[in-house]
Amino acid sequence: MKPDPKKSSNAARPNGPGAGKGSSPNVSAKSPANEAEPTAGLAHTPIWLIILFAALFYWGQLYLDNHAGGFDPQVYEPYESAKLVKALNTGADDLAAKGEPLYGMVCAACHQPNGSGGALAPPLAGSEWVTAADPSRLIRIPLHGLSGPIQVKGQDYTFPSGMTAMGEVLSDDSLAAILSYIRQSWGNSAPQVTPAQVAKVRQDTANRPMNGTATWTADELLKVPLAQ
Amino acid sequence: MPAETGSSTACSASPPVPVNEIDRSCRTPVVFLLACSQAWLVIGLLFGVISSIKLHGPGFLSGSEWLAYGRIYPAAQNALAYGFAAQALLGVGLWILARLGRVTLQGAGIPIVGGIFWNLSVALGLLGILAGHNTAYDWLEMPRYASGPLFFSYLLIAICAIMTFKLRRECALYVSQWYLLAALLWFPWIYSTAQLLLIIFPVRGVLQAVVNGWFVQNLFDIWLGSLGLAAIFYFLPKTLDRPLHSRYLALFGFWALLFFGSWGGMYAGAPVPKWLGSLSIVFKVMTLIPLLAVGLNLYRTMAGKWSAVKTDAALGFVALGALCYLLVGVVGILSVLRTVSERTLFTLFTPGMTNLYLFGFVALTVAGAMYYIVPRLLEAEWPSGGTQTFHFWTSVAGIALVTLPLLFGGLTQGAKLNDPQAPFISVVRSIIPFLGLSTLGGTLLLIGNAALLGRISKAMLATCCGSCCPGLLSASQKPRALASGGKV
Amino acid sequence: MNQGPLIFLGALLALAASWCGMVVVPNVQIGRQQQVAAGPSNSRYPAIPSGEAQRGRDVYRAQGCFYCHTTNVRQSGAKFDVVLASAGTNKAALASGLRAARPGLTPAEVSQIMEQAPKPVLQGLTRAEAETALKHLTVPDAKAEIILVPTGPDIERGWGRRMSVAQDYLFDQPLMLSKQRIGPDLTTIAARQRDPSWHLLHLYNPQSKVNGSTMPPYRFLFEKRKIGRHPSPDALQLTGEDAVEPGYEVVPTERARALVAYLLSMDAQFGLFEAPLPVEPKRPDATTNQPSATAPTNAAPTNR
Repeated sequence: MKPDPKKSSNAARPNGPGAGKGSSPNVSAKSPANEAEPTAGLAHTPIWLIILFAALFYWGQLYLDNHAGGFDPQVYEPYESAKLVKALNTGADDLAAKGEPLYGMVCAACHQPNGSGGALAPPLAGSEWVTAADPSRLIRIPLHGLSGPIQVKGQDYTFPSGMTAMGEVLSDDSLAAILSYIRQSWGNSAPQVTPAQVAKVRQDTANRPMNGTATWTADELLKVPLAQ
Repeated sequence: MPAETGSSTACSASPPVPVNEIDRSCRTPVVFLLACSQAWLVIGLLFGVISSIKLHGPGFLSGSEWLAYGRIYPAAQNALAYGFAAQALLGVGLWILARLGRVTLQGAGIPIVGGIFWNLSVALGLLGILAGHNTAYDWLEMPRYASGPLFFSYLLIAICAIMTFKLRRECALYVSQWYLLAALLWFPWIYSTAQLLLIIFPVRGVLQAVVNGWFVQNLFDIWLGSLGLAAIFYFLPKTLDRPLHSRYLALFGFWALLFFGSWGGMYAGAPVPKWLGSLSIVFKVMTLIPLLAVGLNLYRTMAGKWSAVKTDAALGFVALGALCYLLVGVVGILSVLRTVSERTLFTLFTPGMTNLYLFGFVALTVAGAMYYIVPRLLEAEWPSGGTQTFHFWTSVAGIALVTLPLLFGGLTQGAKLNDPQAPFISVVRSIIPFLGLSTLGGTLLLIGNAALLGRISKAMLATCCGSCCPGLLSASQKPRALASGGKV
Repeated sequence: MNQGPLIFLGALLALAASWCGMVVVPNVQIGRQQQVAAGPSNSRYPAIPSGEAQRGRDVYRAQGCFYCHTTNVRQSGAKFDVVLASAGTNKAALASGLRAARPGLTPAEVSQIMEQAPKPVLQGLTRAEAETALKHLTVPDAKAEIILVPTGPDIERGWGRRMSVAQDYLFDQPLMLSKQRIGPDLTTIAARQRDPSWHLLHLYNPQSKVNGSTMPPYRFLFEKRKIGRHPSPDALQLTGEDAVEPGYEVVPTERARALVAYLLSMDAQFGLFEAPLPVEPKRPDATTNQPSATAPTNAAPTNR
C-alpha cells in the first residue's frame, strides 16, 4: 500500500497561518471551492428491499403475537402467556379454592356465605382482623375461639355467644385453606395463610387449651405482636 | 420556525469558503481530537491486553488491587469507547461538517476547550474505575464526577458542530450530514437519560438493566454507528472520486436505522417481562433493512473500482471498516435469535462482537479518515509508507485474532454451558486457548496502533516546530520537516 | 431546500418513540413492585439485605466481580411430575389407578409406591400428560398432585431452582446482572456453599479450593501480620504452599468479611406467582437427608 500521489501534492502546501495565504501557487491553482465534495446519485430504492421490509414487518408482528406473552408484566421466559402462568399457580396449591367448601360447612352459618356477618357474628368482608398483613392474630381466633365485645371496621359488636374453638377439629391445612379463602374473597385481597403459619401459631400457643375453655378476647388479641 | 429561516438565509448568502481555509480552521481542534483518540486507543489496547492475559493467567499482576481484572477490563472498555471511538469520530465529523458545508469550523476555540475537557474527563473516569468507583453499568462505568464533565465537554463540541452546520454555505445536504445531525442529537438524550435513571435518581431493580440495555443499544447501533457511517459515506465516494450510488436508498436506510436501531437492548432470558426480549429481537432483526440499504449503496458505489483499494490507503481502510460494519450487523442479527442467543448469551461471543465493532468498524474507518485528513490538516507528508503497510496488516491480523477466536470460543463455551453434564470447570478450561489467541491479536493491534501514534506525533511535531520555532528542531527531525512542511 | 429541521424532528421522533417504549413503559409496568409474601414461612421477599451484606455488595461492585459472574438463572421450560402424596385406605382402587397411570408397574412396585408416599409416580411429563395421569389417581381418600419442575441447564447445574425474575432484584442497587460467565453464576451461591471460611480461603487462593480455576487471587483483601499476644480467631487456616512463616498470620480485612457476607446472602429462590415452584415440603428431592432422596430418579422412568 503506497501513499496516494494526489494526497502528497495536496499536502505539499505552505504551512503556518501566515505563510503566503492565497498567493501560494498551490492555492491559486485551485479555485476556492473547486475541490469536489461527495454527492449522491438518484438511483431508486430496489423494490425487493421494500418487499423485504414489508415481509419482515409482518414477521415481526407474528413473532410478537407468539412470543411477547401478551405484553403482560407477569410473563417471563420460558412461559408463553398470562393464562398459563395463572394455571401453573392454581394447579397444586390454591388454598383459597380448597377453603371455599370448608367455609360453607363450618363458618357460613354465622358469618353468612357472603361474609357480611349478622346477628351471630361480625362481618369478615373488609374486616381489618381478616386482612392484616400478618395473620398471626387471625389464626388464633379459630384455634381457641373468641368471646366478648369486638370492634370491626370502626363499629362495636357484642354477641350473645362467642366464637367456637376449632383447633382440635380442624387440621393446619384446613384452617389455612379457610383463612386463605376469607382473606381473598368478597373484595379482600390479603396474601394466603399457609399451613406452616398455622402450625407456628399452634406451637406458640401450645399452653393454651383448644377446648373452648380459654377463648381470646379482642383486647388480649390486640396485645399479640404483629410483624412490622 | 425561526431556525429554518435563519439557516436557509445563511446557507445561500455567502460564497463557499476555500478548502485550504476550511482545513486551516480545523487544524488545531481536529488534529488534537484525532491525536488524543489515537493515544486512548493505544492505552485502551494496553489495558485490554493486560486484562486478556489475566483471563488465562490469573496470577498475572494479581498483587495490585488497581490492576484487578474487574477494574482494568472496564477501564479498557471505556478508554476505547469514550477516549478513542467517540472522540475520533467526533473529530472526523467536525471536519466533514465543515468540508460539506463549505464553511470554516465555527467557534474554533470551543471544540479545543471541549476536547481538552473531554480527555481530562475520560482520564479522571478511568482513574475512578481503577480506584474502585465503577458504577457497575455497562459502558457507563465512569463515576459521576467524570461523567458530568464528560457530558458538558460533549456539549461544547456539539455546539460547535451544530453552529458549523447551521452556518453552512452549501445548502444541499449530503448523506453524511444527516447521520451527523442525528448523532449529535442522540448522545445528549441517551447519556442524560441513562445518568439520571441509573445514577442520580436510580430506578429499582431490573429496570436498571432495561435502561442500561437501551442506552448501550443506542450508543453503539445509533450514535457510534451514525458517526461511523457518516465517515464511510463521505470517504468512500470522496476517495473514489465518484458520486454515491443512490440518495433515495441512503434516505431509506437512514430512517430505517433511526426507527429500528434505537429499540432493544434486552435479550431473551433476561429477568424482565418476556415481551422486552421479544421486542428487542424483532427490532434487531428489522435492522437488516438499513444494513442492506447501506451495504447495497456502498457496493454499487464501489462497483468496478475495487482495485482502487490497493492504491489508496484511506479507501482501503474505510472499505474494510464498512465491511466490518456490515459483518457485525449481520452476525449481530443472527445472534439475537432465540435459538442462537441461548447458546451465545453469557459467553465470549459478546466481547468478540464488541471487538469486531470497535477495532473493525470504528478503528479501521477512523484510520482511513486519519490517513486522509491528517496530512491535509498538518500540510505535511506522512513520514514514511512503511508504517502504513505495517499498521494495515497488523490491524487486519489483529482484528481477525481478537474476533474470530472469541466468536468461536463463545459458541464452544455456550454449547458446554448448556450441557449440564459438563462440569463447570471444564467449561472454564475450554475457553483458555481462545483467550490466548485474542491476547495475541490485541498485542498485534497494540503494536500497529502504537506505530501509527508515533507517526502522528512525529508529523505533528514537525508541523508545529516547523511553523513556530524552526530553530528548535533537532538535527534528526530537521531534514524531514523541511522536506514535507517547508516552502515549496 | 433546507432539510436540517426535518431531519432533526424526525430523529427526535424516533428517539422519543424508543425512549417511551423501552424506558417509560417498563417503568410503568414493573416500577412499583413491592415485597411479596413468599417461601415456606410466607416472609417478605426479597428480604432487605443486612448492613454488612450491603457493604459486601459494594466490594463486589468495586472489584468488578460481575465481569465474570452472572446473577441471572435461565429456565428453558418446565416439566411436570405426578406425585402420590398419601395413599389413604382405599388400596385396591389406588393400585388399579396406579397401573392405569403407569402401565407396566409390577405389583411389588405398586405396593412400594403406596407404602413410601409421598412418592413420585411419573416424572418429566408435559402438563397435559400429567393431568391425564392425575385423573387415574383421583381415588377417594388418596391424595395425588402435579408438581411443576422447572428445567434448563442452569437449573440442572444447581445454580437455581427457577428462572430469575424482576422481583428477585428489588433491592439490588446497583444491579449487577452481568453478561459473562467466565465463572459460575452466583444467584444461589450461599445455598451451594454455606461455609464462610471456604469463601475466605477461596478468595485468598482460588486454586486451592477449585482445581483448575482461572479466578485471580484477592490477597489484597487480606492482611498478613505478626501474631500478637493471642492468635486471631479469624486467621485463615493456610496449608501447603500458602502457609506463612511461623509467628505470622493472615486475617481477612473488613472488606473480605463483608464480601463473604454478601455472597452468603445470595440464596433465596422462592416460588413466586410469575415464577412458580412447588411448595418446599412437597418436593421429594428437596431434602437431601431423607433416605429415599435418590430413589425417585432410579425408580421412576423419565418417560421422555
